Amino acid sequence: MDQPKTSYEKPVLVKYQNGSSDKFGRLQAITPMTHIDGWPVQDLIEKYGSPLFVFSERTMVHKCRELKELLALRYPKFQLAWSFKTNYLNAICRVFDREGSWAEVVSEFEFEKALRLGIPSSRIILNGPYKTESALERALKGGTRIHIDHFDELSLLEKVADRLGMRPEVGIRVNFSLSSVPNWDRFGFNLENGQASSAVKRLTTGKRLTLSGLHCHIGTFVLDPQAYREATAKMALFAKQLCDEMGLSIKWIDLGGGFASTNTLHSQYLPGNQVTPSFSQYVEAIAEGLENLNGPTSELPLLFLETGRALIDEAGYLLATVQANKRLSDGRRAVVVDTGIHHLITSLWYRHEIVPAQEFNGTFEPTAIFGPLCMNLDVIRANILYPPLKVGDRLVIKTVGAYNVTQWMQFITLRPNVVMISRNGQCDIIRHKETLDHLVALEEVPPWI
Amino acid sequence: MLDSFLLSYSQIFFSRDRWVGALMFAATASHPDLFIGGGIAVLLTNLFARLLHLSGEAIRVGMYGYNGLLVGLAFLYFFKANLPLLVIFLLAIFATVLITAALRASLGYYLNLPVLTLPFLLIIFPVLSASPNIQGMSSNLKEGIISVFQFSFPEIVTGYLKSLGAILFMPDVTAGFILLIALLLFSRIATLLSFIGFAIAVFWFRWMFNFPQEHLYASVGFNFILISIAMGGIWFVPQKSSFLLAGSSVLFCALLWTGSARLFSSFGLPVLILPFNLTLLTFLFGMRQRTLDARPKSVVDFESSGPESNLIHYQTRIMRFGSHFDHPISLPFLGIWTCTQGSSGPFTHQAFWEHGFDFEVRDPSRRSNKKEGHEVSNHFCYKLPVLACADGQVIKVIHHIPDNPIGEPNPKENWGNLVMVQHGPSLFSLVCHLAAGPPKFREGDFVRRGDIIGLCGNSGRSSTPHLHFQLQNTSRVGSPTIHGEFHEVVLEGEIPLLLSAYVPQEGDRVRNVRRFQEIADHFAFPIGQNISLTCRSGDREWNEEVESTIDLYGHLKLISLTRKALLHFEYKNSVFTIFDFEGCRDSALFILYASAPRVPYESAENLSFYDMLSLRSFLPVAKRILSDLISPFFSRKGLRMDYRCELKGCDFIISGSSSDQNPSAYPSIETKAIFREGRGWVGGHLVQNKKKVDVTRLESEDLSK
Repeated sequence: MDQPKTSYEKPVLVKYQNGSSDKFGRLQAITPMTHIDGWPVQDLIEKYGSPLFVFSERTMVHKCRELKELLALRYPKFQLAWSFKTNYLNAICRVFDREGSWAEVVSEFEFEKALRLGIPSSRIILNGPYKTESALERALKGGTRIHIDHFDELSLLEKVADRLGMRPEVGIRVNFSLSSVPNWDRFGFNLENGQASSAVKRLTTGKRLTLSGLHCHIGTFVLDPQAYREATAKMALFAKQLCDEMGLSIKWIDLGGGFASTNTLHSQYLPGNQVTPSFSQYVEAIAEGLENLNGPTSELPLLFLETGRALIDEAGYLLATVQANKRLSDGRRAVVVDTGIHHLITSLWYRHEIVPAQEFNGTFEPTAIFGPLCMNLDVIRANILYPPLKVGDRLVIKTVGAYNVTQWMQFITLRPNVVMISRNGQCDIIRHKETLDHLVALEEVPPWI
Repeated sequence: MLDSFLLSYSQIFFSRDRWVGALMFAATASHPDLFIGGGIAVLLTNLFARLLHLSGEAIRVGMYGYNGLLVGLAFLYFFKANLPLLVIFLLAIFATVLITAALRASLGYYLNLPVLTLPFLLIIFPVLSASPNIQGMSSNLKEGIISVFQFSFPEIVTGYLKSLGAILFMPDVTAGFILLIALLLFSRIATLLSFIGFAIAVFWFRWMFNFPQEHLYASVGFNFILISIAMGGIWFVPQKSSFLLAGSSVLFCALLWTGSARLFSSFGLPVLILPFNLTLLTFLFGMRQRTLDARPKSVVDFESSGPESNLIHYQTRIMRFGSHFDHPISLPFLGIWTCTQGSSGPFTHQAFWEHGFDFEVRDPSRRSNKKEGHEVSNHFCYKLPVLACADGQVIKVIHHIPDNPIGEPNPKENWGNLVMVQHGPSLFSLVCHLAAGPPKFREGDFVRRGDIIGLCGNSGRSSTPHLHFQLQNTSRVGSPTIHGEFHEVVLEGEIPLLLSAYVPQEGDRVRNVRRFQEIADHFAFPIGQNISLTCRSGDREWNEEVESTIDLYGHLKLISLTRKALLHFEYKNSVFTIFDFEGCRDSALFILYASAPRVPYESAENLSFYDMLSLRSFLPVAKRILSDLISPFFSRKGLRMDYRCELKGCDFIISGSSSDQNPSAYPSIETKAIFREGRGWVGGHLVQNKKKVDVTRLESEDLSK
């Protein structure tokens, strides 16, 4: 019998680290992930090609329900709104719609997409610093909740409302400083310098709009739950102040999103799955903040959360195939895979967890994982302690569900298939891979060339 | 006008049915003087009542007329018609109206008791006493009234018919027979009760008293017939226990008659219908003092339209909303909790305190605390809000007892921190083992369902944080518990099931149904709004106009203006409910009733629920009459329908199907109802045994065409 021929590799000296524990006493072990929700990774790639985005409906539903159940234990009126920009594939939005989420959109295109999905305009929230006049008009007609971002938008909205002859209920976005996260003062009206109060006065004296809601979004990937307690308390006290001083009844408070997923930021020392707060910590903080409302239960405002990342990130996987092994000049091992930064923009922010999809052996050594682009910036992991990989080995990049399939781009290669595995184990394509035809369909070559 | 005339007759049998009234009026035709005189008396009574600007609705349903009718009939029965009689007659009618009004205000308003035929008695006794002294009034009594037909029935049957006839002062078989038909038309249960009441009285007198039977039939028997009907089916829901009550009231009535007859005869007066009035008023008032209104259940919370509808109303309420249907209780917490000890639980829910419930929060792996540490604060439920289970008044608050360490209960202060709320005359709820801290409400404060009244803790006899809930009859902390069940509860599981009434069992994960405003917005029936519908069944097509109204008592109704049908509905906190459907089944409203009898304002995935429809509505006429006769004695199940709801864009769709039951006894039904955001009910269908009826709401554009 012929032994399979092993390829020659130039010998190198590597410090033996396999199996040793790190400073927290944990074994640095990488467990291969051979299956996703019961589907062998190998089969998925054979059927749908590599690279491949895989979404787990089970995880999405589980996360969504977990958050809702925790909220339900502490606050009687709340509503999730699916943040479209996090992931607006129709199938994904449909899952959240079915789970009872509303839609939170930040552009006319997203608004249109939500409406086309059959989400009624009364169950859409329109946010963002740039809302077109036509979007505003449509939103007013359909009863969409609008959160006003700045004075110019306020004037524009009054103009539109006047033209339509209606006096709609609207919300304003406010920002404020918090002790543990930077102030995103570029969005909305500032609370501390009185801008928010002037906006409210401007709005009420204009008599064309009715102020019924308050919106804020304190930041992104907020790792400190106490920031939410502080923010919620500020919102609640502002709502109370508006009620006491101006007789306004605030019917809804929208706390935006910003919950962290279990990813690890480049700047983070500890791994995400150890330090990311649980939903219950966030919810507890929010509930404590809401106690400042202190009103009868029947008059409490409706609480909106626009959580995106924390609900979808863990549900997304990116499958890739090893294309080549290399040695860099400093002796590091380098691996070239068939997916890169053009599919995985989040690798700019996170040290993604990447695990092989098959059993492996060999010595762990510092490894760089590169994408296929002929661009120096195409790095998925610059330095990760990894076992040797063979050409053709499959990798699973975990926690990629948020922002990638919206911020990805067609660059050098085409975008791959996206599939979703249902809770009962069915796997279907939810976005087909691009072909050259798709790409050139929009192009024109003028006759004068 | 016609109503006020005919219903004055039917009221004698406690009915508000025109046809019953017409038949009773016709029954008097065998005695032309009573026919004309009675008619004139009713017309005059109603005329006087109108001239005095008394309540128009009361006049319309014959509340004044029936006493006038009896006064008129009694005049013609006891006296010969002549001029002096006419003057006294007019005076008596006028006085009847005033006395009725006075009694309605006093008896009715202060004691919530019916006026019955007291006005008639208050008029006729003085007139009868005075008659020998009044010039020109001569008695008519000596002339016997001869029956037109002579049947040879057994004595008890003719006796019964004569007694029935004697209610309208016509103690003969013919009149009795027609009145029997009227009674049958009104209610089969009432007819049965009248037989039983009469039979009991006859045997009672034969056994106890040596008494001329003929006398019994002519002038006394109707007391027993009427008291039996009234107690057995009108003021109480017809049940075995109400029949028992009817029987005992007949016996009491007989005693009362025997006693008063001697007394009255010394004044030369007949007792007439006095025993019935006295028995009914005392029994009714006495029975209303019970702390537990059951067996027999009194009829207080709905308009009576006869024993059958009382029974159906009661049976469907029990079937659909459980035994606490008049005081619905919600779960005392937010979100999903797990019942860790239910009724008759193995640990502490025993003996007097068996109807208690313990709840905790568990995570998906069924743990009730975080893995690390043994602090009370590691328990998921610790310091979670505890809610008022229904509207009420806080009557007891304890809030100073510190939380126990895990595993060390404090038996000295058994109940720990607690809040007791009174929800009704004898309904109290108690939540205990709360966390110490400033109370949210103080004793005497009023709370609404869902208000936060405390936080879950570990005080008193509690070893780990949990919430204990119980209902009791009295206000003392720790008094015996009463049966507790929760309303509109979602039982979590693979398929979450919404239950209108549920007693949580150990291990159940339960929550209150949630209210989503965007779904509630689908259920708009603005008062005064008219809805135009078009119905199609096979090749038959018809248009129907439905109006949404509210009555004097605040009950919401949908009334078909085209067909004779109406339904009662309500928007509760988180559920749209249709209570009863009355009238013609060929109405679009019947489809609404069958397709959406109860809809939660929630569309969680897979959320399913069921409801029991009144089976009677789906039966053919013959079966319906048969089922009426036996229904008081058998608690019969209704037609179970399973429903699913789904939010599709702007439409909220409820589809239902009858459960797999014996197809010979239960019809197979499939339904669908569609509610549109901001517009309300827009259509649906009902398929019964493959026969489909579609209903579609006409757009306002269609109307303008």
